[in-house]
Amino acid sequence: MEVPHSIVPSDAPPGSTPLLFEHPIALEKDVLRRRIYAPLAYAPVRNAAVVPIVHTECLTLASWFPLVWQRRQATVEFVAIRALLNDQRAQPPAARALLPLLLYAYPFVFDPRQPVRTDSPRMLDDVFADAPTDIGASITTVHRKLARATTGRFRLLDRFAHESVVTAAIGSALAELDVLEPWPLKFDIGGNRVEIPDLLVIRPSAFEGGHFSRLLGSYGVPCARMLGLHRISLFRAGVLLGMAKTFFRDIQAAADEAGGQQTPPSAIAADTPVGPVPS
Amino acid sequence: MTRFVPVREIAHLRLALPPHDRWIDELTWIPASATEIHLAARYYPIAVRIEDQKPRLGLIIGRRYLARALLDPTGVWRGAYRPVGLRCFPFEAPDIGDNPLSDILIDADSEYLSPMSGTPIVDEAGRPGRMLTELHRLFKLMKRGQESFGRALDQYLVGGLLVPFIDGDTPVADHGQPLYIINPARFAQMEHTGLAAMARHDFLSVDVAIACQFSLQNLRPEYRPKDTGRHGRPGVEPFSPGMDTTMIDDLSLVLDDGELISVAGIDIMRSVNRHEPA
Repeated sequence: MEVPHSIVPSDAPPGSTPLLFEHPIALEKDVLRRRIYAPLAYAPVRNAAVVPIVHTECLTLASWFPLVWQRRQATVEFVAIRALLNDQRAQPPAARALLPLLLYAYPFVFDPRQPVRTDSPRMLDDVFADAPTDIGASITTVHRKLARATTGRFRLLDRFAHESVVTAAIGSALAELDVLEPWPLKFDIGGNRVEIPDLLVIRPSAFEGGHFSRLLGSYGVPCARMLGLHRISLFRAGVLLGMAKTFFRDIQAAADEAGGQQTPPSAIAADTPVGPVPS
Repeated sequence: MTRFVPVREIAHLRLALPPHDRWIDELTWIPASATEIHLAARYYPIAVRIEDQKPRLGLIIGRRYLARALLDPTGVWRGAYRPVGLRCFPFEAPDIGDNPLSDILIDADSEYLSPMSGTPIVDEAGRPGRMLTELHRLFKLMKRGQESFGRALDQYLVGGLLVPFIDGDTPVADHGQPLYIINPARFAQMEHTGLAAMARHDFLSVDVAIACQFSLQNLRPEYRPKDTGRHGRPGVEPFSPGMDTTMIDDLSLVLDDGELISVAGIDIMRSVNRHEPA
């Protein structure tokens, strides 16, 4: 079984936004001559369970994934839950090609040492594309200009950075309103402990009063979409649980078929939370 | 001609629904319950039916309008969420009170009534059976939902957020009453102060508007509202980037995407549970 990936480095500095990366490096010198591939060629893109998103992604992603907040030190971050485990096989099959914006920009990432801003440095995640489907493209052309594949992904990062300002402000305002409560996505599936920690949802009772009037007055339609689609998206948790059960059942079946040659999933997951490493 | 009577009058008969769901193909729109709107929006376009100047919120289920078929080729339900309105078929309850036997009506000549086979409508003592009691609960849910939706739908009418649901050049109607859907472009143009006013007392009107907008992905593309802004001018403001549902439509639905997993049966899913419809 593939060891689950972590998308949040445990040594991330306080206040920084954790983004999908393993070994981000500066875009300079020989790095600029490397080739990049389609996002799904990279294991972190395929397997990441929890991915930061921005408000304009809600309408598309709410059809498949719970859209909630995750506590990160003193801040809360708006995220999509693609699966209960960092493994593509635990995602709904029909949604495996539906990527959050940030994953479309991969392997380019923001500098993890500082909060995302519109002028945040872009970096390259120094990873091996383990499943390329084509020959890829170089980051720069022979004329030392950024290739189209590069500028296209940079534009996605620009859009993410631009929209993350409002997204983060709405998240902070919700935290200040004290309407967020823990969402315990924690299961024991056939002896395998699965947990995504630090998730937050809006307390259902908060929708009954006029708590959000001032917030909507400040942030308008983006805020309305985040709140409304957050509620709608929570129903997708049932599908993710079903997929996680299927995942473990298939792993067990494969192990049985191999005559116990493979490590049973319980030995891997029983004592280790599966999913992103707690902040 | 259809002659609806209280079930008390046919209590000696049994309900014998067919093994397939092809009867659903005869329907265009059904009313919705407030408890199911968040879940139903994932599978059905939400539409407003205006009857005697009174708006009612419901779901479009007409086969020709839906992006994904509800039934397989043999007429069997494919597994999407089954809304309350369908679970009440073939009964009606225009005025719901406390007596299932008199509140719930059915066509006296319904083909789904049988003297011999099917589910009994009353028990041995002549009291409402389990099925009838559950139906009564569902009809009450729908009535409460329509009452709670009323103010929100009025706000949409005042704000010009609704547009006729059009098939070609023809407005679509259900039982002769026109259907309306939300105009996402107009909603996207709403001023912050307008949204704040909508949410002054509770979040319902904003909540339902978002669900309506989200639900439009379930319409075939040719039936989705055109990009019409506040002044009826096309192209005033594009749909939000998130409204591009092409990717979703291109993905085939997996069979187990329906609510086949009982979230209510998982005690550690308390938070999810609170959102589950009754």
